[in-house]
Amino acid sequence: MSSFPLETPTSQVNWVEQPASPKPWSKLTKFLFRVAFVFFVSISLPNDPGWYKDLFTFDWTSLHYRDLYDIARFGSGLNIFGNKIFGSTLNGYATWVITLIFAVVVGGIWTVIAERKKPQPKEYNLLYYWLRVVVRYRAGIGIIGFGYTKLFPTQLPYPSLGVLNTDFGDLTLQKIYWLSIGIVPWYESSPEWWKCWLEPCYSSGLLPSGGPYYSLEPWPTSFLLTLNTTAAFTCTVLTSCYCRLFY
Amino acid sequence: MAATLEVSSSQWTEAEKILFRFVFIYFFIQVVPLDYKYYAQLLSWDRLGYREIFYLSRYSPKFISGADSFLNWGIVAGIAVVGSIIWTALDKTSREYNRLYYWLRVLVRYRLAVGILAYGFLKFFPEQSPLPSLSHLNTNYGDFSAWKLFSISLGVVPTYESFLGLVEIVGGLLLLHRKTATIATLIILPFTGNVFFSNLAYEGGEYVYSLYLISLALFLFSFDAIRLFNLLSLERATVPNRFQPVFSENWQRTGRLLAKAGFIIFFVFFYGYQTYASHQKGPYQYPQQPGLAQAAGVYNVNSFKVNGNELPYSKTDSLRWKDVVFEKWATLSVRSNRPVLIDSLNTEEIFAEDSLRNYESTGSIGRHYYSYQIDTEHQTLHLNNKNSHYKTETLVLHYERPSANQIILSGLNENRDSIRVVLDRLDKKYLIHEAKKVGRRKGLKL
Repeated sequence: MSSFPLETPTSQVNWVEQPASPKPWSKLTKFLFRVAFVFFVSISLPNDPGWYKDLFTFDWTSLHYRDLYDIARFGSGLNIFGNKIFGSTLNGYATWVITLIFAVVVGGIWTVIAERKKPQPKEYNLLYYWLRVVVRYRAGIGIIGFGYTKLFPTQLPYPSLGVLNTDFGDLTLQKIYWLSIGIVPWYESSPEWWKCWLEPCYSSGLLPSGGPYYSLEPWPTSFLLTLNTTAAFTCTVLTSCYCRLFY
Repeated sequence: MAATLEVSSSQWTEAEKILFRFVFIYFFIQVVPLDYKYYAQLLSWDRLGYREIFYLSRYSPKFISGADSFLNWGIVAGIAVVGSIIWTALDKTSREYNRLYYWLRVLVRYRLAVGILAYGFLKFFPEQSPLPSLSHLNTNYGDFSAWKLFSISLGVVPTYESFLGLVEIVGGLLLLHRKTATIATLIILPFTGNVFFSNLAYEGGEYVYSLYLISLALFLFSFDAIRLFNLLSLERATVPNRFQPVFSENWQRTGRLLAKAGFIIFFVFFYGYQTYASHQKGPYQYPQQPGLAQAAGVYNVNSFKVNGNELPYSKTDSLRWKDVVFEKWATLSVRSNRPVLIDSLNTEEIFAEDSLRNYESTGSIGRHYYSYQIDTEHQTLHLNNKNSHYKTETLVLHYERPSANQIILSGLNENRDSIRVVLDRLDKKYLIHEAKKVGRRKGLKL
């Protein structure tokens, strides 16, 4: 049995310089971007007039944590056409489908108009950047809003005496899930606690991992960091999504 | 932007070599079963089912008896320190250990895959945490240990449990391919990391073993981690992994193929099928022997007489029963105010015999659990308390069934007093089933 020798690396690698003028995008890419732009802006902005009302009517001189929490958790997506599609709310996801249809329509109109314009836009790199800013901050605000209510375990509190003296079979699935986290406050807060504690390490780029705050950082200070944050973020949100569906 | 590639020669530094020798011995002992007891156990089995494979999968070297402990790791590390000193003294010629490093990773990959797959299938066919029993449903939330609540809270959502099992299986399968091993560790580390933290938080008994699996995953991840950090974070040119074994002889190629195929057939297909078949038969956590025919349900204690004296309903009386559950299988549980010394089981065990299957009774108080034998000829039940603290408690109760929903038990209780108990079956509905029928957001009236 033999093995390939480890290759001795060549002494120098030339990295490709960023081209001075960005490459033009294909027609399809531009169309898809327009749809994505409308879709993600729609599901990043609060869709409830009450949210804007609250924002300006808070007593900003004596804020309650609940006020900021309410600002952080808002509904998004197009709901002026109702929240049902084919007669079903699809567990609440119908709004997403409606928003996507809306985005395709608006993206189509935008494409028709842009095609007639002279000169035609070659690419949307700048707009793409700002779209990522909007989405990053939306995601960051949302996750921090929930993160703190777990860090100081208020979201899923310890069961009351009444609940402790209730039969297990008299609880709903959703209640069982919340209680099962509520009985271990240390576990509920620890992931967030670790993130805060390790914050300085992350910031210095020593540790390739990240807490929710990292979604607020622009690409790509550290690619691995961003990748990890996105992965952690996706895992956390997906888990809570699955739990919501199954429990 | 231009960067110079760091020139790294194929010669390892002295420190790297010493570190590797330690790591090699440490993981070799952790991963390869060298314990003769392991093989003695293997030979003692008269059948090979998922239960045996599960215990096979959970090997880790144990030098001290009793519960799994981090001390075992310390002993392994001690052996590795001594071993690496001797190795360093003897080996003056090796320039690098690329080949040995490769084979060590192969060992660890397959060891980790076995561990992850073994638990993955038990969750994918939701058996590890089965649906709660009728007795569980009729126990106060505050009468369970945290670990039991953790398990039954997962048990109420079999689809979610299957999903978790699928994540583990995917992670385990990706380990079987060299190129996807790093991706596998990225799935396994957060998953098993959560298992570890859950064990700590809910007072589970497998925090050593789960950290053991994590340590294997970290070792595998470390192979790529530094290079990934170099390439992606520091944006420096990085040498790819060019090492792979070349099998020049025919028998080597066939041997490798056979070994790998054998592994997959045994630990994926055979074990997977066995867990599936067991799931079809009913969860292994509960006994199999059927209980009294048509009797399953929760019963209100309508009348309770001790030595001929009727005792009224009472929340505080330690003698009078509050309610009785007949399970589908041969278990009967009594809720009363008589204290229960908690029987604890916070590791995953698969018991072959009914008498040992104690998932239903461990980690909870509030009810006394009895397994029973039915003597249909004399219409009597021979009850045995399932709790290990009440092993000697046996009752013989005569039963009458005047109607379909009534059972009358009479005989001697644990204090040798004569009792006569009239039980009426309750038409009890449970929210975990009822609320599902109408959906989460709708109102519900039971």
